[in-house]
Amino acid sequence: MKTSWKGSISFGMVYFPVNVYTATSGSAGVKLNYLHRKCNSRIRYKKYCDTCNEEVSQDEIVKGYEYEKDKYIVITDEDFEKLPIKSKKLISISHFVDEDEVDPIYLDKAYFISPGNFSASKAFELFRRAMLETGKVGIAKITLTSNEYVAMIKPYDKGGMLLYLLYYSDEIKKTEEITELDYNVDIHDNELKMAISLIDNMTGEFDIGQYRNEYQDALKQLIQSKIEGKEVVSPPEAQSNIIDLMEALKASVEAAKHGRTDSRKKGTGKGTGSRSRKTATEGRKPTAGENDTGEPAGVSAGTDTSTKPGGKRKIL
Amino acid sequence: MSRDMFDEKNIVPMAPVPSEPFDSNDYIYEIKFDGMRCIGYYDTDAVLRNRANKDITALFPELRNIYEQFRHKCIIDSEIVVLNKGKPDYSRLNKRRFLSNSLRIDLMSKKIPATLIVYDILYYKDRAVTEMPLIERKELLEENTVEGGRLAISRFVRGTGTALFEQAVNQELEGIVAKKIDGIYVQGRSRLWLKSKRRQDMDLLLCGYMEGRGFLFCDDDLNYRISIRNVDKNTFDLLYKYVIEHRTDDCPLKSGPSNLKGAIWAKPGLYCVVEYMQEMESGYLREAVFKGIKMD
Repeated sequence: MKTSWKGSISFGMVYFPVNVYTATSGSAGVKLNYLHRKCNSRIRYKKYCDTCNEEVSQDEIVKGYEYEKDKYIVITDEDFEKLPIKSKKLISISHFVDEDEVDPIYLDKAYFISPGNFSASKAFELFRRAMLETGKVGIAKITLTSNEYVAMIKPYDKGGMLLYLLYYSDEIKKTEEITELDYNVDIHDNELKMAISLIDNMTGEFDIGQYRNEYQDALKQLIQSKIEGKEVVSPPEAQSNIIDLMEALKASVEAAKHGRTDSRKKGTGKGTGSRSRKTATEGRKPTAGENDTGEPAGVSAGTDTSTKPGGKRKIL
Repeated sequence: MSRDMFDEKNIVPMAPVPSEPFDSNDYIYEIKFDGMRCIGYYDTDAVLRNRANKDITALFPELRNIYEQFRHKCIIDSEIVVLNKGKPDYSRLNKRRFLSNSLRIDLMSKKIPATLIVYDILYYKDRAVTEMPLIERKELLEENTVEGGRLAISRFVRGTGTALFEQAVNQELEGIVAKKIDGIYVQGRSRLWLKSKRRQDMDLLLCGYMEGRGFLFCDDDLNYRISIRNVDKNTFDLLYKYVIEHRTDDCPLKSGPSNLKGAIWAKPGLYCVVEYMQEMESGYLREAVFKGIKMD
């Protein structure tokens, strides 16, 4: 798997290199393009400056912050480099907590972590085991590309460890804004019992594998059938072609050998299996007409030399 | 039960050493097919690994049921090829090897399906058979395999290497491999297998890109050798990224044609394998094809 980045984990006196891999593949959905209805060409997005009335290329673009309507301060690459980010490529664990203390709402993107090299394996595994034994997970600060994140590190039951980027608390919206949640209802014990028994009856095992994105499946099928209806899907080539080719080459070589038996020092026929001799004589040799692509087979079974001028292809 | 080579799944495929074609009754000879090396682990399903032991099963849905064509649990050495007019076509295979979108993979598996050409057996029923002499492994392979569908068994001849090589050249196939008839299966490079190729390989350095011409390559002495335009999208992106990241204003070449004005030059540092038919006196490589970025 391709690493997303390489870095190090540090906590207390411990420090070891790790590789970080993206754990999820994003949407498995079909990607569709926008086309011009009239001619079916791709719609392109062009970067355009209204003031200069011209198209702008990537190297002419800088980043800016709109601090007042239509007023910007420009932030250059050099400015970005000056920003004090200490935890660059360093996963610095500040403390450990019980896993159930971390509400799943904070979990963002997931990554796999592995030891960064062979000698880091022991520290890695030690750290992993200790977390397994204690049921704790590590909370750390890390930097990815140009932003700083909080992360949670936990052992993964399929091997290695997992790293989750976490949302900052101010990124989680407040439920207070949902007025419908401000209700007042009475629940009777019997009603609660009934609801609980319903849940008990429907309790099963969590198996994400049994769910499929049926909408995507249907969309893929639609695309498949449209392609098959429109484009002439070339029929899968029969295997017999390659088998015929090999048989023909073999037959031709065997025939040549038998024809030249006298002049050969070695290999006077005794080494060849009966299978091959049969092939040479029982007419499995393909001719141009027999080849189902209609291509000339080009192999002249039973003749010593090839039909093409051999001198042209000099091999060094 | 302890884990064996079937469970471990970390076989390094046996690799031949280059050689001139020759005739010897101590060897069998078979066609070298231009495709993707594949070690297949077959039991109640198929697990396909490439030369670097990367799992490629998902890339070839059309080979998913191929395990049904092996009578017993086995590990099989083979080549995955995509045919074009009955012959392996490397550029067609390239259209398959970098796909990741499952819909694309399904479509392409119908449009240009792959074929598995099997030629060795490393494991049979419950044990490794790598110590068995080659000719016995060949028999075992044949007994254990039902040919047909997307599966072909590689044919071989005994003794007549030069004649088979001639035929391979005439048919414009990649070449032949000579295999010691009583040889065991060795993981990695071994002199028990000798390859003779129709085309030659050369390691060249990427030194630039030019609109219309493609990527520019030079040799170790910084002499210009060849431009190659025809690469797949994935390779294009990789090479182009290298050129941009190692861009230099000065042409790094010691010698080269004068019509390379307007090229984007790059500091030569990335070795690539280029395959060609013939090296001309001028140093030009006839029918050069990009084969890959050199990994070591």
